[in-house]
Amino acid sequence: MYEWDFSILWGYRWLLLQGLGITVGFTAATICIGLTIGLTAAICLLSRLRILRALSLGFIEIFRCTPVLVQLIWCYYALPMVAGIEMTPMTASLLALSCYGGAFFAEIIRGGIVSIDMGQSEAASALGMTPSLAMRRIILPQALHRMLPALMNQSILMFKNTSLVSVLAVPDLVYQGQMAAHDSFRPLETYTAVAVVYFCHPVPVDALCP
Amino acid sequence: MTVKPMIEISWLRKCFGPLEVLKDINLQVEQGGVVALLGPSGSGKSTLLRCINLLVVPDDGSIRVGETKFEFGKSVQQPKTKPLAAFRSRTGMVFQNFNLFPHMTVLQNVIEALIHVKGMDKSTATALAMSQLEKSGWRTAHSRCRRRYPAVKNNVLRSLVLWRWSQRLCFSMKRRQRLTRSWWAKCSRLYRNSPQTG
Ligand SMILES: Nc1ncnc2c1ncn2[C@@H]1O[C@H](COP(=O)(O)OP(=O)(O)OP(=O)(O)O)[C@@H](O)[C@H]1O
Ligand SMILES: [Mg+2]
Repeated sequence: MYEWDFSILWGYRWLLLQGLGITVGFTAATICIGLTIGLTAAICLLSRLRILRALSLGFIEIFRCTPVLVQLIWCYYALPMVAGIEMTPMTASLLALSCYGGAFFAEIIRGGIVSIDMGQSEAASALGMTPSLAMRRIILPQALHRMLPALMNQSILMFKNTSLVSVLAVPDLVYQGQMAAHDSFRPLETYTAVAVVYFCHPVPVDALCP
Repeated sequence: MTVKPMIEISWLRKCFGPLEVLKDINLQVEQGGVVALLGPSGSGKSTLLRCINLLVVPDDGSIRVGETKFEFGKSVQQPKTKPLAAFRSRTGMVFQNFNLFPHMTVLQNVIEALIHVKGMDKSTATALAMSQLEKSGWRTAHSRCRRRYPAVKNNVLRSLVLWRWSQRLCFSMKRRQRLTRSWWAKCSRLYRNSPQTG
């Protein structure tokens, strides 16, 4: 029978806390950048110009249909070769996760925009609004309200996806957990604690969002 | 001396696929004129109004409203976004199914275009909107509606014009509000769709 002993974790509290900081920071950053990318891609997708639509669709399909782990590794090892730029693991992870999230956000935002009744944009044009003003003042505020649950869902997924950056040795919660496990020879306790921390994280946010 | 009519429509045509809705429409409206379009359902009354406002681009013919003239046809380029918006800001339209903005209060619905299209400052716009809402009998209609639909009551505890869910307004209130929104966007021409709409 295995003897559980969670007290050993106390010695690694700063390490784990540091990891949690990185994880939370990564989540916030990828969600913000992802939303920006997603909004841009969604608006391009609804544009009248075929070239913008094609570019946006290409981007979305590439990032939606490949595993995020592959994207991470590719961004870190292959992209610097192709583009001839140096990238830290941090930058590469941030890029891959943001684009991955952005592709999904784009589809959510596009869906939200087209779900708004045509009459709303017609009423806005009839009042003399330009399409961009109508989008900002009339369409997006209403669409945002409808998109909120789906955006929330995607954000939770993005939070969990940050755990993958540990493969590039970015010291997030999982990576630091691994360190602690190797050091203490207590993987069961460490990973249990890591899992509990992950679980507790989105729950309060979830409760705030009806 | 004859006065130039305010609205002049000549040889206007519009087809939706094989369905020819407007066939060579010619119409002139004098300044200050009140015109009623009559016709059975599906005869194209709404389509004509939407053409005058260019929400629907006609296939052929021309439309002149005031000094602005638009020509339509295969060879003619479609009007640009900016002049189109400027042209529309000088006209008003009441839609058949209102199309109020549900995320805004009654007051916000009315002042939205005044502020963001006409560039009026907020206090002036609010004062103007309040006086016009008052004039349109919105307040009376509102209290009548409250009596008829008691369920609505609880939502109206706050100030009358701060009522957010304008989609729950009853018919006559919607009518008044929409009318106020388009009419008092300080326009010189107003197109109302359907008598019961305004
Ligand atoms: N966007 C559209 N695409 C295809 N057909 C359309 C479109 N808009 C209108 N129509 C058709 O054009 C015809 C005229 O419609 P319209 O809405 O102008 O009629 P109306 O005179 O306003 O009728 P009502 O009195 O019921 O409001 C109808 O047969 C309608 O189905
Ligand atoms: Mg009609």
